[in-house]
Amino acid sequence: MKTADHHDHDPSIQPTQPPDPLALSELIAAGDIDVVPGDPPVPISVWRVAGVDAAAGHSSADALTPRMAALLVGSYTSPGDTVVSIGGDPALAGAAGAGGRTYLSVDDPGDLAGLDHVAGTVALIVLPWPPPDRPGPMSRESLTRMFRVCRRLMRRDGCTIVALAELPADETYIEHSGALIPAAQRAGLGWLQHIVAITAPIAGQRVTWRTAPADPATLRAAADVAVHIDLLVFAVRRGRHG
Amino acid sequence: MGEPQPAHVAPAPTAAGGASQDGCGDTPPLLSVILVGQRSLAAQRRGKFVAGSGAHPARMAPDLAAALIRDYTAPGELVFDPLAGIGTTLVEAVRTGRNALGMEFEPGWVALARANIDLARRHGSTGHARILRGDATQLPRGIPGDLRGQVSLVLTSPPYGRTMHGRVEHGRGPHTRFHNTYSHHAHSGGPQAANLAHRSRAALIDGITAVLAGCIPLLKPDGLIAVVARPWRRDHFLIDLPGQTIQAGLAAGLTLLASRRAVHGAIRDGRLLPHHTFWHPNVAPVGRRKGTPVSLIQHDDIAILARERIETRS
Repeated sequence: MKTADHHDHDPSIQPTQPPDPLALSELIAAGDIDVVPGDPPVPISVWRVAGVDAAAGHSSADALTPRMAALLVGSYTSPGDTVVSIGGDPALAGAAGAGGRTYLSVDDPGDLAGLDHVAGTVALIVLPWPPPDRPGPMSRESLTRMFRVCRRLMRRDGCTIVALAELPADETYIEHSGALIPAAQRAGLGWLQHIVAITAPIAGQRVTWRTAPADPATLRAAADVAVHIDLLVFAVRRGRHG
Repeated sequence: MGEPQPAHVAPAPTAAGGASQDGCGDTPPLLSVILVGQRSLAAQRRGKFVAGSGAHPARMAPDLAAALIRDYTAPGELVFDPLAGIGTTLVEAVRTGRNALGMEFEPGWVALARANIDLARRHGSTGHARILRGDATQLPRGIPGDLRGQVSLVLTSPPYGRTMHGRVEHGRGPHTRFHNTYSHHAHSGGPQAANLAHRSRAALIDGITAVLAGCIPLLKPDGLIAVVARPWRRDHFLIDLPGQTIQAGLAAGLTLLASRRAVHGAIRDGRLLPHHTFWHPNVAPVGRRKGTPVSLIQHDDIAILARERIETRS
């Protein structure tokens, strides 16, 4: 797990170590992440992750954009680490590949158990949520089992991150977060961080959005246009909690 | 797939920094993210609150309160805060032309809320506000009968964990926590069960359930409840106060309509500049130096609850 810039600018010290293009210092310099300056700089809990094609009308709150994939991989892994996700994600695969990480994916939460050959070595597991092609909500037992598998795969300092995207109109945030967080805790994982990833472009001092207007008949009162993804970051509980 | 639709651009931020505009009618849909950090908290509060108000440990950001009031009410409607503290929500309501009602348990905060409402009135606010001293877990007890069924928006924030209370003083060396009690009597007496801030976590959730249940009879048929909350950290990990608050609302018979996020950073040249908050600013750097990838929290969770699912709202 990387928490500071390990990128060494002096090639005489580590001549075989290429610079990490996703190092925090690089993300800061590129304007991809916002931080509190200091030693170390501390990222804030809000990410700007609008895709480069968002201005062309393809902004979506239910897919990982290249910047979001870069922030996930750059913030929670180092070169050489292993990244796992449910559902092959091109952006995540691209960021991992460009950053010298190994990327593995499975089709379904139930398939994670098949990755036992990397048990104890995975730095980051990304769970796009709700999982695609699911027949229905996962039971409490299934969720706990899934997180137990994640914990088995994770390095001691690794993270599992649920990316909770725009939900169908008949589902609510609490139905998912209220099941996921306790299930992770039962599996020995603690809720380390909640990150709000803003998926719409920010222009001037405003969030903008371009999307086909929702059918007014289905727009509920007080409902809103989803312009963010909730990232729930889980880490292994240690010590008396471990 | 058809042609891309014309751009929908959120209305220009108001003076309060919200991305909303007054009134109802043909307005764009609300966004799930509200940007409320263009101004520092000090700037948001400047001139609006009497001396002593800063002693309250967990005041809502005024621009956040104003944005939610604009999003969910029209001028002249009634806003209610059952945990009113020094009256931030009431002040923002009357300053935006709404009427407001508040309840607060601690007499000291009641007095300050009253003074802050008077100050808003002297500044020309057109709305009317009233603060009542009472125990919100006993609601609707204490609310005049003619106000029941009249509230368009309940806007409130539950007390946070005691260990995370306290405003942080900057600029004088190491961060120093102060102003970390909800009660003027906390130093002389024991915990007061009637003050939610002094309850254990389980009892706190029970208390929040009682408060929300007690708000239901006060709501208009299409009235909404907006609860602003933030998780707190214990033993390195987050306690899901926002989620538990929503669960309390569901237990009280409410439905969750929306989960929004209020972002407190300021946007400058397309980037978000964080503000210092009462949240321990040194927790994240210490955690990162120890190898834990913690971030500085710059957002609040907003739960929008209603008595029942509303299909259309006139």
